[in-house]
Amino acid sequence: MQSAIEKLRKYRDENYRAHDEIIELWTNVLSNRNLSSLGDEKWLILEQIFKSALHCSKQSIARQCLDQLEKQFKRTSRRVSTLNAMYYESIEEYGHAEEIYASLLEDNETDAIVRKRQISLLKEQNQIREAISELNSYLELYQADQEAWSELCDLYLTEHDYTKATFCAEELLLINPHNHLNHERYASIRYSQGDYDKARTYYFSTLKINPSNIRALYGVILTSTNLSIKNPSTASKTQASNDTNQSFIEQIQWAREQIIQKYREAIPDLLPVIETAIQSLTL
Amino acid sequence: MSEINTLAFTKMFLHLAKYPELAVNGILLGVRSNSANDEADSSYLNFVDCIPLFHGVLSLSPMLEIALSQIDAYCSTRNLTIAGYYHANENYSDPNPNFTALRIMEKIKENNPNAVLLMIDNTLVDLNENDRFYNVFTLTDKTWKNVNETHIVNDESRLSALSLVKRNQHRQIIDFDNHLDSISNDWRNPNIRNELNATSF
Repeated sequence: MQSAIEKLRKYRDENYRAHDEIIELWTNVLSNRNLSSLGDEKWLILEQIFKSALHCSKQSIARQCLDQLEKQFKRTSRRVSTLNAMYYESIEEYGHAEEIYASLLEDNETDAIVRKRQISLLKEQNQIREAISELNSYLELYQADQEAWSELCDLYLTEHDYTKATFCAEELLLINPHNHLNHERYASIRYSQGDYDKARTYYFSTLKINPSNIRALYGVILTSTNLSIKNPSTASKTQASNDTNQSFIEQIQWAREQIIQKYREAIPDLLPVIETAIQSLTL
Repeated sequence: MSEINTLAFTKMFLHLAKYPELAVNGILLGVRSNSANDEADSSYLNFVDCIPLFHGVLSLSPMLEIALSQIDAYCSTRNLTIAGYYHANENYSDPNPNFTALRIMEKIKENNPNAVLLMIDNTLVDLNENDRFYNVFTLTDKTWKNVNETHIVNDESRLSALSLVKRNQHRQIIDFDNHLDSISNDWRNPNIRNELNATSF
């Protein structure tokens, strides 16, 4: 039982997504044990099992956990009310869930968690435009909420609105400019828009922060190739233009060597496929 | 007409099971038809393997280009071709192909005009109740046509898929995103093939 408890703790602390495993642990190890010896951790565990049960559509397990939590914290607890509303979400009683969230917000309009659940409700019902609108309102107040900017970015990408997705990605870059993933995401959105120049810049800035980011290395090859195609070297072009193409070629070569080196070390039998693939991209 | 083998069916299912909360997509590989063989119907698709691609955001193009170039290279030495594309939406109740699916299918059809879409229907993923979890579509002039009746799934596929999920193989399957996160993750998934061979019915 101790190792199960530790595993659950780790999953809580590190925000792991392993719902089926958590339910397994509950079913096989914990559900028949007396958790009172754990003190307050018991409630954290019940809440965790509850959420994982919803993810796995095991409503009966969720109900068991929720009943214990309601018994302990009474229905007046905001946290338990929120869990109750989540239970309604999982059985598709969206109206009921919305009532609870609305009333929680009436009591305390600064409850960010409840506001985000309301937005999730819209997403669940495939009302993406409305979800985007509400999320925009939310972000006017909570401008530093990275999770929210990330979600909004993804929603815009679902709608293929690359321009607005770019704006969200830029906000994330401003909030955390040292995260290589933010740079790479920005570059990839720019690439998808067709802005190879900007994309290339940010693939390079990604590599400056993390020289092992494979996506960025591939991105350098793709962007440099596309830019040199758009600007073919000819005798009639200026020296500067031909020099630019030369530097594209050098950078493609450099990125290619980096990639090959990494594959050679990590997964050498995939190397022939990689080399052929890069060849076909840069022809 | 099309059929799918146990390996391709199972890998696709494992990918869905690994990321139940996200949109996922991937490629289906088919045996390359010999155009010199007049007897065979060149539009007959025989799916024999599956390469899971991405999870979460499916609409960004650079890594898709990288993936397709590597899959093409992989196919060329094995007499295989990219013959299908599967796509599962994030929303449980939305079984309709979206703009991303359209764009990717159009790209795939440039090289293989007979390629089809396997659009996952999330409500059908209980393989204890259903023998397949997707609908098959052809694409002509931006119009989707359901061709389920001409698609064959063998009995073994359903049982294999269920069996491997029970053995938690869905936690082991590697998609292209996993590979890009850490290249020692092998998108060819040789382990899954071995697991299947160790399974018997």
